[in-house]
Amino acid sequence: MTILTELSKILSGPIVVIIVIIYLLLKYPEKVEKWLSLLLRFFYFITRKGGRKIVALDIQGRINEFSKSLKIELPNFTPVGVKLHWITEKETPSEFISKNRLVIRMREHPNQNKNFVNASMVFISKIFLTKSKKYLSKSLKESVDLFVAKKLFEKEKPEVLDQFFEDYFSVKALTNKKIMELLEKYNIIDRVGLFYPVLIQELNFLGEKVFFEQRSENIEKDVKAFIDFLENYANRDIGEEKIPKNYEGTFCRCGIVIIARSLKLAIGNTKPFTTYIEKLIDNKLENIYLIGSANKSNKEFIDQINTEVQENFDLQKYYSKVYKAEIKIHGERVEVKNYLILLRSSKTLRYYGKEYQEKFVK
Amino acid sequence: MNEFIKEEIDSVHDKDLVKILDGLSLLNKFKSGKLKCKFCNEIVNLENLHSFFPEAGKIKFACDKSDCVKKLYDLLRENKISL
Repeated sequence: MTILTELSKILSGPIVVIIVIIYLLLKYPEKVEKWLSLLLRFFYFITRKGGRKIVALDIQGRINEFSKSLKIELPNFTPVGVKLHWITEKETPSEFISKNRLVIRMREHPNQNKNFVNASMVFISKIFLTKSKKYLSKSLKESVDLFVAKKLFEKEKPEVLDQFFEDYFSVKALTNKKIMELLEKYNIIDRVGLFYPVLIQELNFLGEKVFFEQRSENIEKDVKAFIDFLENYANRDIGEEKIPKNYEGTFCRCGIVIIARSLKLAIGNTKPFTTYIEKLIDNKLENIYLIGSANKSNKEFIDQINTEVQENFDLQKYYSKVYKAEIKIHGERVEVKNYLILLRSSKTLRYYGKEYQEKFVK
Repeated sequence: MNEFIKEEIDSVHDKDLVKILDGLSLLNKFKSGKLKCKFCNEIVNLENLHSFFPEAGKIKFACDKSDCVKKLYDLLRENKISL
């Protein structure tokens, strides 16, 4: 055996480890940050060093992982992450004032839950749905942020939920009745799995659609009515036909087509659905959500309808997903797997403020 | 490679708080209980300090009461304070 092969044998182990670490760092930086934070806690126990790193890596890892996961829920969401920046004493008062930036206090890492809740709330308030929030009322903005924060904590750090509920959701903390009611509505919408894929999706579209219009009562009324529509839909019992399935507001315009007719499915008759979708297009609905059971035959049937619609009308598949939903069957909530396809018109309407229209739109 | 824009959140760690407040010429006021929460007017101290930010040429403080942090988040949403 040559020296070279002997050497390569000795080195191959560490090299593989290094390659794996580099791959993980590039592919899952936020997971690495979370693990590194845990590892540093161990070293801190011995050396009493690295307290700032423990705090920063834990917060960055968890928030950034959550932000990236939103991209799966919301295709038009641009994930934004956070990086904690420790300010230094070199900054003079006038330099600090001229920057106009918030500084959050971070406690020692044994109080990391509090740090995480504070940093997350700042992140969500400032970064989540930035464009859309310009047009929403205070109660709508605050309630959406609180609900998204709840989802973040459930996913990333369930142990902070008690503290979060105590601080933000308790009767003592939540004195605003409007916010309480909205949170209840989101909860119902979320149970059928439509909080992100329909409600937040539509709010995100709204932010892209309304330009140069300050917050107006019309937009707020529209969004609130849309939330009520989704709540009614989420509360419907299976087979209930009386509940409206389309929302035709001025700014939010979408339809939900439920595809679960076993007889039509059995004979593969797509006609009733495509005819209905054509009506929705004639009524200038911009987004059409095809929703139904994710079982194999129903999923294939939905895909078939989707193909026919795209071939015949000016609608494009925006995204599709399989998700968990707790639907009502004879008054009882039952967990099922549902399938959703969002079809989006290329002719989405854009709105401009009165002043803008007078100036630029003839 | 990951294309992931990151917003910086300015932070101060408890270990550096004294130095930072000293640099901002606010340490004596902090120690003597003269700094108050912008929203509820309560004295801010090591127990309840949540954050601080510039406003109208001065440095303002927020305590960690739910009502006060909610008002702070409103200012963030309305872009009256940046990150």
